Amino acid sequence: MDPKEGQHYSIEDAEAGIRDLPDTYWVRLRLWAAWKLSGNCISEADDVIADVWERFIRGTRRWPVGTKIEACFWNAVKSAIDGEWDKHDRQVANRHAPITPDGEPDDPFENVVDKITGQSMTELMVKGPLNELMAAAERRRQEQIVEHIENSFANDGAVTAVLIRLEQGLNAQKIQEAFSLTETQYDSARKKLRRFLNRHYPNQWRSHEQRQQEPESLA
Amino acid sequence: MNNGSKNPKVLLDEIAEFMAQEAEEMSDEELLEEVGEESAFSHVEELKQHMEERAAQVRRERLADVRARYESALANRSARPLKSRPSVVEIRQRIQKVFTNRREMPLGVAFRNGEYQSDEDLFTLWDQLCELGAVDDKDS
Repeated sequence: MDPKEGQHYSIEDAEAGIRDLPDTYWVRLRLWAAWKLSGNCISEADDVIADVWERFIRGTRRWPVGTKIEACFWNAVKSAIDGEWDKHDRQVANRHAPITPDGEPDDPFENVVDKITGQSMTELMVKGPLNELMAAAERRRQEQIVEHIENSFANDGAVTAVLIRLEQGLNAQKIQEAFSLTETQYDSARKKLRRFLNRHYPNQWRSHEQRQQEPESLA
Repeated sequence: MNNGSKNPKVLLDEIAEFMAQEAEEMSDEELLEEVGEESAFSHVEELKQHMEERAAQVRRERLADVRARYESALANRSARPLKSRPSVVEIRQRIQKVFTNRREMPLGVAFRNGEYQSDEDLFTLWDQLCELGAVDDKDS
C-alpha cells in the first residue's frame, strides 16, 4: 500500500495551490463547466466553481497527497456539476408534483375529472394547453439553434459528418470511413465546428433573457 | 440531416458534451483565441473576486467561531466560584513553608519568595499552588 494513500494536504496548502493555478486554467475550466451545465436551469458555471473553492477552504473537500491540484480541483467541479444536474432533474420533476408542507406528495385534483374531456384535472394541468405552449416555444427555439448550426455548414461535408456523428452517437473512425475523410480532414472539421460554436454561442444554448431569469421552460 | 423526428434538445445536449470535451483538450492558444483573451481574462478576474468574497466570508465565520469559543471559555472561568483565601500574612507564611520544606527550590519561583512580593502577587501564587495541589486550600 502506498504510504501516502489516505493522506491529505492541509487546508492552507490546498488554498495556496488553488490560488496558484494559472489564468488559462480558469478560462478553460469556466468554458468546460459552462458547456457541461448547458441546459441546466438552476446553475451557473461561476457559482459552481466558487462553491467548490469554498468547500476546499472550509476543509469539507480535501486535496489528496499524490494528486495534482489542477486535476483534484477539476474533478471536484465535475462532481459538483453532476450534483447540479441531480438538483435540476429533481426541480423539473417536482414542478408538476405538488407537495404538502411535510414534503409528502399531494394532489388536490387527484379525483377530480373534467366533464368535457373526461381527463383528470392533473392530467389536464400537466399536459394542458399552457404547458404545451411553453414546451412548444422552447422546442421551436431549440430547433432554430439546430437549424442555424446545420444550415451554416450545409455546404461543408466534413463538418456535416461531425454533426451526424454527434447526432447518431457514432465513433469518429466510422464516420471518417463513411465520408472518406482523412484524420486530418476530420480534425480540421471538428475544430471548425468548435470555433463556430464558441463564437456564436458564448452563452451556450441560453438566450440572454434566460440568463437573467430562471428559465422555467427549459426541461 | 435533422428530419424533425429527433428531439432537438437531445442533439444540443450531445453537441454541448462534445464542446465540453473540446474545451478540455484544446491547446492554450486555441482556447484564448476562440473565447477572446481579453474578455476571458476579465471574466476570470470576476470569478476570482467572487472566490475572494467567499474566502473572506469563511475567514469571518472562522474568526467568529474562535471568538465565541474563547468567550465561552472565559465565561466558564469567571463563573467558577471565588475561593476564599486565608489572610495575606497566613498566605505568606504557608508559601514560605512550602518552599523551605523542599531541598531544592525551583529557580523559576525563587524570585517570588522574597520580601518584595505584592499582595496581589501572593494571591496569584497561592491560587496557582492550590491548583497544583502544593497547598491545601481547604485548610484555610
